[in-house]
Amino acid sequence: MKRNVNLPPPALNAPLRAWSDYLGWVSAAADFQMVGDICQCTVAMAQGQILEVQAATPDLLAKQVMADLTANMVVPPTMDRSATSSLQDAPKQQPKQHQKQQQLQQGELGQDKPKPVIPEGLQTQASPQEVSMRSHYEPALPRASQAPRSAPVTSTKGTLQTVGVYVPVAMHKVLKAVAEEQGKKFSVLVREMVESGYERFEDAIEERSGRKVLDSYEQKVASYDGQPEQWMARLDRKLSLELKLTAKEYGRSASQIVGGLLAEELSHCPQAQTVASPISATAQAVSTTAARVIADPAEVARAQAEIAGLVGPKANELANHLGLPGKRKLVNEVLVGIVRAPGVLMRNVAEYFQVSPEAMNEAVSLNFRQLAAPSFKAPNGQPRVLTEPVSWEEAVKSLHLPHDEEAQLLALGD
Amino acid sequence: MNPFDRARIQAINARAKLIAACGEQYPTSQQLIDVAEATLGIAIEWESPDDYALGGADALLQRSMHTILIRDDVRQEAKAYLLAHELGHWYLDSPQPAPGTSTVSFIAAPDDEADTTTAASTPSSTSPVSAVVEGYGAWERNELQANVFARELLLPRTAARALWSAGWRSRSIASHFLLPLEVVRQQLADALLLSDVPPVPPAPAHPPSDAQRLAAEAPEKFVNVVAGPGTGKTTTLVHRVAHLIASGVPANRILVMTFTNRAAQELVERLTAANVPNASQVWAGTFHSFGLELLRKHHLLFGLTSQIKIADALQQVRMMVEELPTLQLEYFFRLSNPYDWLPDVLRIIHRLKEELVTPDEYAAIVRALPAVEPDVERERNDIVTLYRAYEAVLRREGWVDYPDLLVRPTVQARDDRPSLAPFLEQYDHVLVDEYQDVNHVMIEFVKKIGSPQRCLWVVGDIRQAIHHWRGASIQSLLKFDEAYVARGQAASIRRYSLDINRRSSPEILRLVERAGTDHVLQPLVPLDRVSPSRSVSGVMPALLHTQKDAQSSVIVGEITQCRAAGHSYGSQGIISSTNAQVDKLAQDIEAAGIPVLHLGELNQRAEVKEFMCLMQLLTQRSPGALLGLFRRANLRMPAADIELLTNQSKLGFNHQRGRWLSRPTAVLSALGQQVVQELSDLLEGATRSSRPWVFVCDLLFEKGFGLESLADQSAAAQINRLALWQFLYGVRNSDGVGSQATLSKFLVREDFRRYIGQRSAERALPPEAAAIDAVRLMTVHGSKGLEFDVVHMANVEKTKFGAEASPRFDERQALLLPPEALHSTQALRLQGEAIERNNLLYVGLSRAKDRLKVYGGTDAATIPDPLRDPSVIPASVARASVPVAAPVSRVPMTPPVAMTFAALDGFMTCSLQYHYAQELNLPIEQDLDVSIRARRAVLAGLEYFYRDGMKTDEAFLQAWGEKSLPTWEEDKMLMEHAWIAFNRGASWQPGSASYVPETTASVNGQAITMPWMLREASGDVIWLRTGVGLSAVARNVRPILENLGGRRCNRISIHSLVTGLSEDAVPSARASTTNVFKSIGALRAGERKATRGKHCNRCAYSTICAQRH
Repeated sequence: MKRNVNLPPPALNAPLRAWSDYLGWVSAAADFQMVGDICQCTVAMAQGQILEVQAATPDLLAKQVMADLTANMVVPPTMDRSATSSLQDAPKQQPKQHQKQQQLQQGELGQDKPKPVIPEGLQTQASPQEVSMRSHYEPALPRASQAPRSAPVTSTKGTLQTVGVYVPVAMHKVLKAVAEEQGKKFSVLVREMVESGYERFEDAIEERSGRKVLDSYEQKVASYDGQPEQWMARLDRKLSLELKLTAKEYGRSASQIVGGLLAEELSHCPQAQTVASPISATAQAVSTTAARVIADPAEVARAQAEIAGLVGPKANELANHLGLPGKRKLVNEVLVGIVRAPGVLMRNVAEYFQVSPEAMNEAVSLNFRQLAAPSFKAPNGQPRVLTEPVSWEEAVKSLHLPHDEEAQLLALGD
Repeated sequence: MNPFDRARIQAINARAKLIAACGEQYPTSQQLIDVAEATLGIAIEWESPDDYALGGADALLQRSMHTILIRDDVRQEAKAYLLAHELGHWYLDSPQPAPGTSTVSFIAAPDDEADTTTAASTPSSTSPVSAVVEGYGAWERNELQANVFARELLLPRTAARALWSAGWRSRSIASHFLLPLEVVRQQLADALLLSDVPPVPPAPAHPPSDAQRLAAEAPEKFVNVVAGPGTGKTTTLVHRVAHLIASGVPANRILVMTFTNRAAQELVERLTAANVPNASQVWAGTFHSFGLELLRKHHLLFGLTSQIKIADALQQVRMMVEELPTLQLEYFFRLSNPYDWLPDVLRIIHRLKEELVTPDEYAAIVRALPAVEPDVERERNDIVTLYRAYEAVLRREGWVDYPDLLVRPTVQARDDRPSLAPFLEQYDHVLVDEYQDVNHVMIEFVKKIGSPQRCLWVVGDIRQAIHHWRGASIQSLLKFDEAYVARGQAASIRRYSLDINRRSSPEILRLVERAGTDHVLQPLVPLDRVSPSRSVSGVMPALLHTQKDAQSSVIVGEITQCRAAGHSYGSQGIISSTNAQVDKLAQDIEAAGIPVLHLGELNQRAEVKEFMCLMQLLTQRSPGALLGLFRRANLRMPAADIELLTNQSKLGFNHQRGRWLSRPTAVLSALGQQVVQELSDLLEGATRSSRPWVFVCDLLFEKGFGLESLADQSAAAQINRLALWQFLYGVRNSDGVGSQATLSKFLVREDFRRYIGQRSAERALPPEAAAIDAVRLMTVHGSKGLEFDVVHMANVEKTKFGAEASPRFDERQALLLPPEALHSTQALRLQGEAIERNNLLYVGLSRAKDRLKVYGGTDAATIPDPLRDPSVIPASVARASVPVAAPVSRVPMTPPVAMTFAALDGFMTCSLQYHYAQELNLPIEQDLDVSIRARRAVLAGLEYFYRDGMKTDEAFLQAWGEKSLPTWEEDKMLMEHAWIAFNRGASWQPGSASYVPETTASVNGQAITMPWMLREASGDVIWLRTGVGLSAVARNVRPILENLGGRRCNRISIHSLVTGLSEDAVPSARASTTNVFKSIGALRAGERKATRGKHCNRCAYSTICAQRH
């Protein structure tokens, strides 16, 4: 996390300008009221303390506020732009402080009247809330050794634990590329992805068995090219403990779990799609043992278009072609990625559409991902949305076919 | 524009294809399904309900698979409906990145017969309020549209109408065409009761003007768009959303808050019509529906169930009535009927809630205020007590009230934002329509919605703020303006102004402008210049001075003239300030033969009363409701037979609640027997435990009751049918608890609703009403957002519209709700009221497009200033041209030998009510509140004390026991208060005042029986009463004193034991000039006419009102 690396070039009037901005904010956001005959101003200061100033007239109040602010302020206000930009992602990275500031603002300041008032100097695309938050923050920014933050910062070595990860080269590269794309440190990205991946996993096992979910994760790991290589992920201690317990529960290693979670997260990460192609090309060059060829995006797009033109009632034709007469729904589900079809079937499908099996696989998995973007709203009676493709076996069994026919279809998957 | 027209058009087109494919003009649902796949090009898969692909839904559209999946274990009717509903999604929802999944909100009935195949929630299982609130979010709106599509696909209105004329009825249609009975009923209701309006595709949006475009594309984070009347506010809103989507904002990150369902619906439809991608993914709805969605999603956080129960006014009062025994009240006396005072207290509580003021805070605020009368202080204390109890009972029982939909999320977001952050931060753009009308909690709520980088774009016109009286805070916009003015062209906040009026003629616009500048706001916020887009019309607005009683007739004349000039009735609107004025105008203008679209109170309409009477025949002991059917020759029971049946009903339950319908009663006349036969055919199978919805549907759609005049296309007939439609849907959603009411419970509830003054009129009319050619009539508040070719603005006077009029805020309420408790000050409150009065004039005038007529009194000084410049609005004096309605003819009637004072009092309030109660002896079958029974016990106890010489406590307890009232343990306060009242009455020493039994007085030759009283040694009389109002009694008793019990009584002292107050009266100087004297004349002369008034809400005979032999 970058904080105070780039201080602005010093200018003689900069501190004063910062003060004028800060006072502008105070004049807009502080609580001014009459208490009896006395004018009162209440300001929430940087580290949460409340400054209450009283005076007989508004003029005197203004002077007194300025005096008290200068007397009480540990760090003078600043116009640090880099600090501003780092603050824009601060809420995500520092949830606790974020909350605290908001409560402070809402609970003690913004309670009575709307105050959409922003002083001129502070109008850099910020809402009053942000402005006030920023102003709360600004004096508190740690400057070298001054005023260290009291709230915990996420990446302190003491709280992290190391887990070995063992995944294909290509996947490691994709992760690195994504980190670069997102402007994050690799270790931070991995930590975040494992965290969100674990959440997603927990959601998924509410619908399907954990084993099946992990199976599918591992398939995703396996879909990356190249030799496996090992590297270290540094994870939050609590999370790594939970991962170890999960690993134990499902008879896997912690490394497998972390690898799986990462592969799954990558499949939900838009940048991963864009970086995947060049990476895989490199991977291909690097790794002579590449098991698969990654599909050409143009061909994938063509496969998707072909599929879109055939889904629905017309899928009957394909069902017949595949020797699955009457299994239109199953075929439709294969085409949109809801059901994961056996390789032999996918090759036939690819042949039917005259695209490569790789492109077909990619198209189908893309279809599913596009299908499953969870933005569905429903108050109640909401159906379960598939978070994972259904296995061939489950799909076939749900058709309730005569025994031998079912066995025949299941055999395709062997 | 009808927001559901697109759904109907799509359904009609799809059906046309299906019909062509199956070759049947009226296919069954099976036939439709058979050809659906091949014809519509979408695969239909029937799956077992546990199939993974269904994911627990009943049916599901998998858009990218071109497939609809439907569970295969439901009946044919349900299959058809599920398919039709999903097809609705297929055709109507814009393609979206999210899955096209949807459960079906199957409209399954409050009816056991309907096929309830789904576990999904049904609209009918929600309380009336939530039925109103629901359906505004993106998801719910899509569901509603898909439902409309499904109904129209399976049974289009045209088909329903044709089948009906060919003699088909609801059940036969359902069973023959394999359709859900509910669908058939709803389609018949729409087809037969609503005007036949073919759906029209929405008109494309106009290209924006420069000002509109600038406002729509505003880059600032805080934008206030000032949209004067007729300047294209909604258009700008549409362009704003379109602009955001076009510039890459995902539709589901846009939130539009409106004040009405219809505004939201219209917005989305206009976006869809303009081909804005994913328009249906924009969350557009009311504040309250947004709150409801939040509560639903996070119900556990709030300790609620996912099916949010919203308590309507009646439910709230009832819950509080049940709480009363546990409360210690200081001001509200338990012998007062809580249904009289609780609604007012609840209104105060709601206001406080909307100000986010808790009971403790309220207590602290009023404590800090200067001392008030002890009386007011006690009432304030009671409000605190009741407020606390109210909040506790809501939480205990898992209910929310209407304000809670906003208050609870706002408080939660304030105290624990992270718990709601994922929900609130879904939105980057928050747009608010009608920002001038937001109240405190809305402002706070809006502050909490959105991601940290969200933009707020509000459109509002401070001169159209007319809801100050219910808490809207003009300050919200004033502050917006101040911020702008103070800060200049700041980059992140800006005010835009729309500058072209497309509505009014330049002449009218000039007057509107005058009303906007000759305005208390002008020094604070000067009116923005608006130029007319229309050319000069040559017709000036007109001010007509009329005598008060001539106004209606002048308006009638003007309406007729405007019609002759080419403005249909439907394009003319009459606007007045108050509901009472509107009701009066409606009566007058209708009487002059001009159709008026003003339904008023539904249960006061003749066509609705008939249905209520039929219900009462089955639920009431006595058959008095027969009187209510007199309009129909075949149901007109002879008076002697009614009397006979009424007497019989006193014999026992066998003769009550319509049981006589199924048993031939030989004693009835031939005509009477015929009526019984007709009625028993009509009510076949129904009992008092029937479901109201089924009962009314069967009457309408099986028996054709109420549908006799379908061919009559006159405006009046269409309005009657519209009223029935409104009534029908009211019945459908009437149940506050979601349990399925019986007829008896339904009627009891309707009685209570009437008692507490819950108006049905607030329910919005369906869009089809627009087709009726009748003059529109509304209050200024109701005219908001509407426009008319011709506007008649009636009752225009300074007290309602002037800046300096005396505040209308009632003093007592101002003490109970001091401005300090409402985030205001006395000065701000007065300013707000003055602004609002000026705004009302501005809003009313600006509704007019071509012609504007303003009607005021003859005294020019009472006319608001902006209307006093003849160069802007020429004035003239107008005289009545249409004669006033003819007087009612009277038939002399024999008065009773003696009548009680109470009966006389009843006659003076409403002579028709007297007729029903005293002459027809129709019993009152309303539930008596325990407070009323306790009052009777107090009087009875006092009689034991004075007459029989019992000891006070014995007398009290004996009377208490006789009335089967709650014990001290059960309701301590009730008994304590009754004891206080009793002691007030028992304060005369038996020696100093003697008991006088019932006596008779004579006025104007009529004997009047007075109840027992006390007489002091001086000869003065003491009358102990438990009623509240004393002055009317004191006035009416005066002529009686002349001759009370055979002698003159020089003074009577009347005591109210409930209030502890008393009033004295002396004999009238000239008895013959008193109202009592005149009333007795009228009694003899045969006057029996309904007198409208507050008492109507309490009248036991409201359903038969105005009917007599």
